[in-house]
Amino acid sequence: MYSKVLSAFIKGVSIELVDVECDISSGLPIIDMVGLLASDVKEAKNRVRTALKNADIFLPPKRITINLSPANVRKQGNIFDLPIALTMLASLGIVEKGKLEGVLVMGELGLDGSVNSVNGVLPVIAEAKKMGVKNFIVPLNNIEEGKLVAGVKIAGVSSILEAIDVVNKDGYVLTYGRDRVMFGEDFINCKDFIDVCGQESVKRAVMVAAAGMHNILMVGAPGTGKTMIAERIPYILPKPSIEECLEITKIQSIVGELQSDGLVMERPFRAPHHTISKMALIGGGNVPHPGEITKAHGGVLFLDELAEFKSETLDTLRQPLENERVVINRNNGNYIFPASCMLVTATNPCKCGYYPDRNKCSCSDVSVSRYINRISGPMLDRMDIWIFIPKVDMKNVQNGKCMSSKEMYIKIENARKIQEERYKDSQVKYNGKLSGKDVLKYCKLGKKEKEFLQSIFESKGISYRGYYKIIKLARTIADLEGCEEIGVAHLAEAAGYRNEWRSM
Amino acid sequence: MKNYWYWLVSVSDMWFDKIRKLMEIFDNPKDVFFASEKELLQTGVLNIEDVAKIMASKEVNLDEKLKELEDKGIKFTCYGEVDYPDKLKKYEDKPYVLFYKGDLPKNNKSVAIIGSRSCSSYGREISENIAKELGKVGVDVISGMARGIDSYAHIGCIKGGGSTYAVLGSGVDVCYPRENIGLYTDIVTAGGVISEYLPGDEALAWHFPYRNRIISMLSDVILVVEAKEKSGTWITVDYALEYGKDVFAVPGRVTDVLSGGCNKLIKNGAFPYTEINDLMEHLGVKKNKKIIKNKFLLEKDFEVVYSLLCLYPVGVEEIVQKTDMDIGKVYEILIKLQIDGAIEEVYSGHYIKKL
Repeated sequence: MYSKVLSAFIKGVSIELVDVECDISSGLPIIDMVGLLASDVKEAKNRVRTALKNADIFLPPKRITINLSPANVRKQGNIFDLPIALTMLASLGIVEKGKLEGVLVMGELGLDGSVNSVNGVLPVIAEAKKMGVKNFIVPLNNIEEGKLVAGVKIAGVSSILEAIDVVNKDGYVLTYGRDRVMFGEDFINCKDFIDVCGQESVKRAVMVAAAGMHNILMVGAPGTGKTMIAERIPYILPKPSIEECLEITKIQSIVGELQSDGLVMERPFRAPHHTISKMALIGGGNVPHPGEITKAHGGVLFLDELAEFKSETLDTLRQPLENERVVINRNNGNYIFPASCMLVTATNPCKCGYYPDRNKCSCSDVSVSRYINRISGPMLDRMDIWIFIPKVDMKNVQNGKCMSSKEMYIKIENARKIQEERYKDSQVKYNGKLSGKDVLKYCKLGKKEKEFLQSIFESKGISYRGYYKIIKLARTIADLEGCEEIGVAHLAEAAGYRNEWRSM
Repeated sequence: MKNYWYWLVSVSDMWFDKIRKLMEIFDNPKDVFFASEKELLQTGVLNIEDVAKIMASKEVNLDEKLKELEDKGIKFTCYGEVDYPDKLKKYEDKPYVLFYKGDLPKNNKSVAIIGSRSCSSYGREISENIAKELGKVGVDVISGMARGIDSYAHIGCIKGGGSTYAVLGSGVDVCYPRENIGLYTDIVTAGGVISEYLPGDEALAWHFPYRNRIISMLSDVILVVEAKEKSGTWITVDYALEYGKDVFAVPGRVTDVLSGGCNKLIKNGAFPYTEINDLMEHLGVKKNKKIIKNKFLLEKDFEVVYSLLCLYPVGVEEIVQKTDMDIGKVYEILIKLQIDGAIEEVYSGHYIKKL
């Protein structure tokens, strides 16, 4: 008897549907599995047999053939246990064969017949829905994820017996999805910039970076608050839209890092250690797996101790940062991972970390510039904002104004709205991503401003690329201030953030 | 005699102290050259290995070696020659041989500007500025071409159009530190690079204390700009005191580790440096015309920002806090002042006044 059910496997962040077929015929008692299977899929045979036995379902001594089609794509993962079990049951007549067709099943089996949770439920359901699949059976622990997709029928099961019931008795529920995300208006539970005192100029720079999605490099001695500042950046970025939330949740679902049951509503903050490998950073492996830059998609990628990263590791980031996606080529096809994130980096100014405080640092000027030059030139060039984090003066901590995350958030949101309006007919979304040609198109300068920029250009000896970066930054600063025209003060501030490191 | 001197210093392991002891016995290197093995051993200065080296070295073709030096543009002089600097003659531990590129110091007034290798922006500005003023009135600046204060002293003097001399702890054709190669060529044109070590010798740690004594000998006044309480600079100062030179020190903030040595020096009786005319008067040099201070006619806002700056770096954060101005406005003023050359950004977001 032949039967068939749908399942899927994840390829990068997209999915591919798989037909799981089963046929039971007379012959020597054996379970045969075909279809270019990785060993984790082949092992499903033993799990399924034992799980069925422990659920008091006895397999007849017959030849059972399982095929996963298309047979030319290598399949990997633990989600095929449940679909295999269900087709076998359909072939045996325990499950109604007609009702199983067109149902997408995923789940891992325990030896006692229980169904364990799996990764990637949300992307599978979202993508399969687009391909016309209506009914889904997923592990009970993953049901909340599945319910985020509207207009499908879904059932969560905790054991093989429940799964049989669901199929036979149509125990699916219709999902309504989430059309709107409710965010708390308060900033009580988040890490707030109000805790960062006496660093107003740094906060200002961070705000500029966040408003225009500019990459930022913070230079400062240990303990000046670089990490503290970076951790707070995700909360001042505009709240993610429902699409963005789904994207973020999908990625977390694939990598198995989904913490809560449902939708992720916070922007991710990833801070990989500086010993990270190339593959872990941008993604890779035999079967490509998303890297840190993809896990930071929609949020912040924070690279602390930038100078300690291997330069070849950092250089792999160059293209993904530019294209906002990672493309990994394998002979069975290209894997594309989204990688649109804000890059925040930090480094000590020198080996001992205390330059220019000569009471503590005795590094020579050469060793200081050598330290910073461990970061490759093209990488440093991508840092639109360089900000030195001064040692906090206790006097300033006690008095003086201190911007809170809420104030910063409001300003940034306004600046983003202005950009949205400006770039509505364009591919670009943020000032930080403007190309040289776009700069001329969108950032018009007056005569006075041009002259001012020219004089900076001549006296500070900045590069031609630096020239455009200053204009882009000035555009963001003007947006933050709500100014339509870029003024001299905006250009001056932008130039102040673009200090190429002083060398002897 | 010159050739015999060159022969003697080029014998391997023939350090200054050994030569000095030999000179007490033999009076000149020619006698050493013609002394027998037995005579050399009897001096008690040399051991068998040294004597063997001396004997072996006699077979080297000296003329060829001297030709090689000439081709490289390296000149050399020894005690007793006409071009041997007068300033060195009176000292007992004077170098017997000097290799040099460019010129040797004449009998001009000279000041040694010395200090820490890792200096602050304060030390940098001060040493560069003093050297520049000295260069303008024709006072020679002597230093060691090390990183930090030394380099800035040479740079300043060259900017002022004066002659500056670097005494090296390596062979005269070895540029140490390597990154100073640009400065090295400038010094050769504007003055000279001098060393008592053989061309090609590496910069070894024990060379430097000996090098410092030559810096002391060549200068009339020693000026210490920035030095910690424990520093190689004190070797030069000790020599200076031994030779009876006057020592000036640039005072600094009492909390600065880098100025700790200078302040201590002043406490112990060194002349405090407060303005360039102190030094000029002491040297008996005719003062430069009234020194025109950088005085800019500034708008009120500019004046407010400019007055907050000093020789120690001040951050943007602090300026904004103290002036209560808009951050964009502050940057605008800072950049305009930079374009005018009134201030300098020493590192990202931190500014100093230019002297």
